[in-house]
Amino acid sequence: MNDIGFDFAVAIAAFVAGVIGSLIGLGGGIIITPILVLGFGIDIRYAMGAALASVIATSSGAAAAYLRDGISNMRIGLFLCLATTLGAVGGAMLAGVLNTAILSFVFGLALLATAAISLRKSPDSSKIALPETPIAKKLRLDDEYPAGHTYHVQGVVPGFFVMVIAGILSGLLGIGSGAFKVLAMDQIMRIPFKVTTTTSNFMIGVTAAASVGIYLKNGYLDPVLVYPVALGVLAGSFLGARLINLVPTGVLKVIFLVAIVFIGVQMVLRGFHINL
Amino acid sequence: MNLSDSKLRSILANVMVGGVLVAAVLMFIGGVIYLADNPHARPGDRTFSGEPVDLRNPVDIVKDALTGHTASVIQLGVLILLFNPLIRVGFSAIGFAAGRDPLYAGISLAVFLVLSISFFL
Repeated sequence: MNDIGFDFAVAIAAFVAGVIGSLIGLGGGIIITPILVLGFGIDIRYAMGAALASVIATSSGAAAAYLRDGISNMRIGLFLCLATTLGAVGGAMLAGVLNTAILSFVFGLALLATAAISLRKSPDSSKIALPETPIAKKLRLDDEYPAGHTYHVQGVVPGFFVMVIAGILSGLLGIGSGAFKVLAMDQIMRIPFKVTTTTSNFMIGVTAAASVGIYLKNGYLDPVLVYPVALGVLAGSFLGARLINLVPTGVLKVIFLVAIVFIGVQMVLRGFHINL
Repeated sequence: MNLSDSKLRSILANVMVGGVLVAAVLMFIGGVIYLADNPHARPGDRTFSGEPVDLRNPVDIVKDALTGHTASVIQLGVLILLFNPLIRVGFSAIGFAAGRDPLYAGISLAVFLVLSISFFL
């Protein structure tokens, strides 16, 4: 395959990853990296760099729409970004010293965890009438959603610490770690689901930006790989967001999550130098 | 939720979409020219060697992009993507300060500092 054919194939793969990612509610980053590594034989560090750039692009586009609507909670987002960016800086520095086998292994585990989180039953809606907590009151995190219905944020301190871990994973693996952010805000902080997902979108780009500088310095961002991946994922998720009401996502979700489990196992095995 | 809150959000949303569009256009133009110039060069991605120094340093990237070095034009698009969240957080700090919310102006500023410092590590 010549260069043009190679770039074209990468862009198509990134496009498909973007469509699937937005249909089942995962960022393109966690899907495109294993495709580049397993399917195109690209070094995982270059794959992570290209994926991270596309994560910023897609999350910035998606977050903008929700920001206008006023659903995402900027106070929660910025406060928790303090945790995720600090974690991401640590994770990105750690990525620079770990070898590719360990990175593949951890990436595989993160994929499996993401699939497990996504396969959980729909979040319960019994979040009304939770008591106000002193720390959330002090930080003024509580807001209204839907309008007229105040929600009270719970578990601020444990939520903050889980966000540090989500940040470390983001920097270490070049992913947005949206699934982990949503888990923390939904299950620990008990924030309404719509507010959770939109605020997570706002946070993903900011978190990713904390490691891009370090990736750039370490030479993980190869422009010749970044552009087909970032443009492909961006176009794919744009289309996916418009298809979401037209296709039965329930069935799709199960099919793709099974595929993701399979890919995750392959990445774990790659950590032990076993190639299937 | 007051007026200045929704105004701030609207400005932020425009900055974000605009930044992504500019970055995408730069990457696309740079990519097309690169392929035209190097139709047979293989990307050296299978084995990791790290990018050349002039593609790692923001100042060099901007300088080389202005002279028409295509890989640097693509990398400039990547840089703009990177600055997008930074600008987002910076605007938030200004917005909260203007709305007399020192706590969140401070939190935004702290995130802004972490992002800025990460660039020099």
